[in-house]
Amino acid sequence: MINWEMLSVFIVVFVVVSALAFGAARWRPGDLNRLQEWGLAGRRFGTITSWFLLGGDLYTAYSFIAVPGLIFASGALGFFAIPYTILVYPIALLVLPRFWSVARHRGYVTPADFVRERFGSSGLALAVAITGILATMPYIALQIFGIEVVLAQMGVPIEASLIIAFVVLAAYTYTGGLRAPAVISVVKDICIWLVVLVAIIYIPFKLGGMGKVFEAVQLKALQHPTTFHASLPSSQYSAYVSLAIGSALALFLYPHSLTGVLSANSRKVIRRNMALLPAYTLLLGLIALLGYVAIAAGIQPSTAYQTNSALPALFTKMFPGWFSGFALAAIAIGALAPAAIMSIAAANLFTRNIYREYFRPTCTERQESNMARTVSLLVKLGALAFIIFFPTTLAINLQLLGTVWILQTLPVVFLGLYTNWFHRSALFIGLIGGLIVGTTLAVLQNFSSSIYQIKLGGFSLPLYIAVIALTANLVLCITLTLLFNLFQMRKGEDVTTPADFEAHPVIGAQPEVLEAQIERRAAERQMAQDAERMAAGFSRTQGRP
Amino acid sequence: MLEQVYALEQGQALREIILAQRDERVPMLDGADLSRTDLRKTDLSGGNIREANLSEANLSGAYLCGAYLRKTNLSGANLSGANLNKAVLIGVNLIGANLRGAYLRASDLRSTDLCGVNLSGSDLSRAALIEADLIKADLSKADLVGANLNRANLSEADLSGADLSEANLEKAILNGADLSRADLSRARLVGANLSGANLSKANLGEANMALANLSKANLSNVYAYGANMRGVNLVEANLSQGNFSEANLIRAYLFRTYLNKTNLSKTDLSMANLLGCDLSEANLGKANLSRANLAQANLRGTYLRATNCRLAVLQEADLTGAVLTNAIFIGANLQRIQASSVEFLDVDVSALQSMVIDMATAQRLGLGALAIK
Repeated sequence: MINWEMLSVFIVVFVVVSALAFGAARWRPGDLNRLQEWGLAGRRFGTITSWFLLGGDLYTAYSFIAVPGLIFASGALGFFAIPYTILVYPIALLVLPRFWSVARHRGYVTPADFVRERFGSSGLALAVAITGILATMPYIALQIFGIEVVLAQMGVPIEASLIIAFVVLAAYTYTGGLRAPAVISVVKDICIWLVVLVAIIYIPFKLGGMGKVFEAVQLKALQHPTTFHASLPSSQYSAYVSLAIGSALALFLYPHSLTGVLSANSRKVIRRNMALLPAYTLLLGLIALLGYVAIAAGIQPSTAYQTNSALPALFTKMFPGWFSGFALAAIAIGALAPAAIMSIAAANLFTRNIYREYFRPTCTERQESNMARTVSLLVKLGALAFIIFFPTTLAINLQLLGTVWILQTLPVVFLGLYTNWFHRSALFIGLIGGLIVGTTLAVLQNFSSSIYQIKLGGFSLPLYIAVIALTANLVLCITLTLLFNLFQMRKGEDVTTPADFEAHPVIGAQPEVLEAQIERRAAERQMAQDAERMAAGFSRTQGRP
Repeated sequence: MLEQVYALEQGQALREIILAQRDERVPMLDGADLSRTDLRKTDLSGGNIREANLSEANLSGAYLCGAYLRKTNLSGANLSGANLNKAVLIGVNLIGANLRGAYLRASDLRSTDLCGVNLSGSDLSRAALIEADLIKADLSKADLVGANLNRANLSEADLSGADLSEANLEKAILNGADLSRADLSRARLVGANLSGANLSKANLGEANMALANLSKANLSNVYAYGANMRGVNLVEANLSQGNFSEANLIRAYLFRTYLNKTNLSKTDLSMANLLGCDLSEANLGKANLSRANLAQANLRGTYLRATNCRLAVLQEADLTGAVLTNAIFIGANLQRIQASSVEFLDVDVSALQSMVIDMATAQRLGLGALAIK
């Protein structure tokens, strides 16, 4: 049954956000017929906008639903998301400023652009582009799934509502490019912060305090000793650590994360944001804790969405209708921003590294931008169709694989930022090998878990599949590079220069020369004004008009 | 006259550059006035510098890598040694600009007017110069490896000593251009117009020049091993002492072409029109001249060992002193050729089957019995 009070607030918030998104094209205006403007907002975003954009990009609606859902279902293991989103920033601080600089100097829009020139291999760049697109597609589908979970909570017709949301999302992404999700991110983050702070104070207060919450968690752990753990058992240590490290390494390899990074206007903005973004981890920690709160509140997950419905159900049960509508709208908006950025990132990859590389090398800027807009539409349409026509478990399974796949681009992209020692063929074989190992292990697990038990004799070590695949990938990259170098196989030409990676690439730059010119111009202007004034005074004394 | 209004005045623009450097960010200089400023060794990389005025600015050694300079006024600017790699320079005004030794790798100069611009020694490798206007431009010793010069106008441009290997010059206009000593190996020159161009001592190895117009061009001493010159127009061109070994000259038009001492061994000249051309002392060993028109050609002292002349027209050609050992003349037209019996001594009788020859010539050559009336 439709909850009209909830739905009315939801619609109002959605309409306001959509109106803002449509107006985004005129924000910090640029020529949207250029891919750099449409797909990267002309690299114009400062610290605050980038903080909101990256926050909206990385902390998606699905993570707001899935993390408390996992904690609700499995307990402490779900908290891996917290160390993961802490670990990611020091790692990112090492690589992203270099990536931003080389992209600035060489006009890169995608990670595959970098790979193409760093290793002189269009084949390797194509492999990175395809991996990026394949890893992003199910992620977009999951954002739409996030909206679906929210809509279901309000009792509205799902498919029709999803199509309306899709049309709105597609329209403002098409017109505004990356500026649209940047605007949405600001609103979304304000709403989410507000909702979570209210929820983490108000709901436990209503339930009798956090003590009661942890009592309920303890009770559940005793009732389900094999599936639910209030604190992490030692058998899950390696799984927990590898999940945190693997996910941290993978996060900024996703094309949409790198699109957000490249839209920043400076290296300093990147560095500042690596220091400021952990604020979102605090937010995620609070959201994760709401999984435990949902246990204490006696939430019964829906049969259709299972534990993913824990958080929306908690809001619906504990908040008054109008605030539930606002909270659910915040989650839904939280899906729109990353879905838009992801579709733009996938479109950038296709346009730059497939369309321009293989079909229209001489295309104009307008053709390139138009192609990206069209592809972003198709990508979203595909994700919508996926959610409507296929079981959600397929999207979730593919997203699990997506992280495994994207992590395999680490040697090419992140290590490539520091060294070109690797042989392009070794990197290609390593990437393919990593993809095969990761996919095979996930299939062997029947997609039931992203953890695989490595058994050597009597010793058993559960590890995140993505990390196992990455290890295989790195072993292949290193051994084959040594082998190919031994046989003197031709390496690809690296057209980047060491200066391309530096913040200040020019040796002997003289900013004082520029300062002196400013002073000289000011003095010249002053002299001209004085001369004009004197001439005017002279004319008056002479009685001339 | 109205004064030009700039988005950023000079002081503001210079301050923006200083701030951008301090903040390690991209300079935003769209529509800025930076005319006559000293920007030597300044970092403007990745900058938005669209429709700015940089006329007569000193940008020598400046770092403009990846900058967006569409429709910017760079007239009279000093860009010597500047790094413009991957910069977008579409529609810029470079009249009187000095780009000597500039780095323009993979830069975008599509449809840009570069007439008379000094680009000598500059690095333009993989640059996009599609439909660019480069009339009388100085590109001597420039690096144009892999550059895209499709439909570019390079009339009377100086490309001497330039490296154009693997460049795309399809349908480019190169009338009267100086390409002497240029490296055009594996370049694509399909349908290009090179009439009157100077290609002496150029490297055309494995270049694709199909259907190109090379009339009156100077190709003396060129190296064109394995080049594809199918259907090229070489009317009145000078190919003397060039190496065209294993080149493809099928259906080429070589009317009155000068091929003295040219190496054409294993060259495919089938169906080519060599009417009246000078092939004296050329090497045509193992070449394919089947169905070629060699009427009135000068083949004095030409080396034709094992050459395939099936169905070729050699009417009134001068073969005096030519080496014809194992040459094949099946079905060839040898009417009124100028030669003696000595030249045909080493020609196998079976290689002369079905040839067309008049009785007088046949008797002069000692081939009376084989003559077809």
